[in-house]
Amino acid sequence: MDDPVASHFFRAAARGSLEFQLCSKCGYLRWPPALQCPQCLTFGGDWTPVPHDGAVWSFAVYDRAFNEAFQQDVPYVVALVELSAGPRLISNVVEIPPEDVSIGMRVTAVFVPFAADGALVKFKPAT
Amino acid sequence: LSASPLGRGVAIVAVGTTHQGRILDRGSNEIAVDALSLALSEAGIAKGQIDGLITCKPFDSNAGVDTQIGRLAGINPKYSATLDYGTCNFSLHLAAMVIDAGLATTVACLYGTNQKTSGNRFLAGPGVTDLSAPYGFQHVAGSAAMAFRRHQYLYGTTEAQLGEIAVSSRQWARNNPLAIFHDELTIQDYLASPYIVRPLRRPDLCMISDGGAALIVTSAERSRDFPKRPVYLIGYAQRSSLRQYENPDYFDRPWLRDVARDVYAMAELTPGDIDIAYIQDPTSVWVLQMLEAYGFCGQGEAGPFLQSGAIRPGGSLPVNTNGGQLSEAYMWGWLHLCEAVRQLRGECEARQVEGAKVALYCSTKGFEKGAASILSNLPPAP
Repeated sequence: MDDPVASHFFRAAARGSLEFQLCSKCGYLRWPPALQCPQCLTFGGDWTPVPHDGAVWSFAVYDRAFNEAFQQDVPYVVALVELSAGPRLISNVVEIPPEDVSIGMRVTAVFVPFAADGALVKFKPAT
Repeated sequence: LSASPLGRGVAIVAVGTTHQGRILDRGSNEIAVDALSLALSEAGIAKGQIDGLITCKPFDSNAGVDTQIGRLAGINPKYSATLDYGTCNFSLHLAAMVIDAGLATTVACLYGTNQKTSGNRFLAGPGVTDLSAPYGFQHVAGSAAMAFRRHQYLYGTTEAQLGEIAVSSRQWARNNPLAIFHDELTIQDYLASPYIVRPLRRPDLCMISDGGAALIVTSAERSRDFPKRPVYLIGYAQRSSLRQYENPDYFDRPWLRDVARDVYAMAELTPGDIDIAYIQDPTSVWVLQMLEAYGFCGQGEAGPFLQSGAIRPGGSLPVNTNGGQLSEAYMWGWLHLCEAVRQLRGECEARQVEGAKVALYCSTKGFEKGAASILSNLPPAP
């Protein structure tokens, strides 16, 4: 959140928008945020809204909190979500019991307030 | 067996291993110097004969820098360097290149850590962690759990099959005096232990410990002048996956198969020629993945392979005969290599694999780099 580039992602999420940097030269949609396109090395790239849907590539169920900030959340699900737009994100799958999460499950973004003016992008089962 | 294509090849002529577990009275650098001292005495040389020094920084630490350790050890080597992350393979490979390039003749590779006593909890996950930390994605257990669940999804691998890794490691460790964990661990014990990050349990994850290890590497030619039987590096290879999540199948690490292809090609060997295998194991899942990547079983077949008891003492492929990180100590794979050397010299007593001539040692730095070495107690062809 302190990173001036990455913070845009979390501020966009607070407005309910899932945004990534789109390279103006080669059209590559990148994650994580960076000042340059890792594909064609062009500097810059505009934050661009993308569809909210994706699929669970795999997931882990934390029965133990390694940081006490998550003590209230166990068991919680961390997943690698492949968005239909391309980027792969580490996030949480929420609004479903951990036992019911599965690989390949279609999910859609939910925006959960985080810090002063941001939101985290989590995922719930697509309806 | 052929020599390194770069030059005439190198050999490990001494190893040094300190006490493993808790070391209360010294820091990471002093532990590294202790390991150097042990290796020098095994090599039968004075410290001034070391003309190359390769040190390794412990995780999330400012220690382990060559300029600090050279001063503490009182040496002025011709060549010195620091690696951010050794896993021993990376240090050994750099030593081989330095020797083959003629920059130094006798290189010490060192690693020391007091990570247990200093309270390092290894919370960072792999890759870009600052953006995943708010989701509670911490500790290598998280990514290992994802990798194993994916393996289960693709191939039907069971938790009991994975459990064979921790159980086998413990069986080996019970005959290793250096190992921290000696208590019996059965598959029933494994299945009864609590999940930490589902589907992984406590025995799937290595415990943090303090310790040090050192190697002394020299040219194959010079290696004959040392008291111990030389152990030759007959193949080595590396590959990275630095684009991290931009790569598909990030946690599956399919590119490890390229490291395997290259290391076997350089040694002119195949998986069937490997007598003993060492797989760096911060979690059991690394062993599962690398058994397949290095061709000891087919892709997706590690579950049944493990279930057959193949990697246990007496099995067809002894793996991590030191007990690995899961049962010996958390030394980033350095002790795996020290064990391989001792096995190839025939020094391992109750756990000695009779007639072992060729060892494979494979390791990774997180999900971002992989490396492998093939070692033999037979000299390279002239």
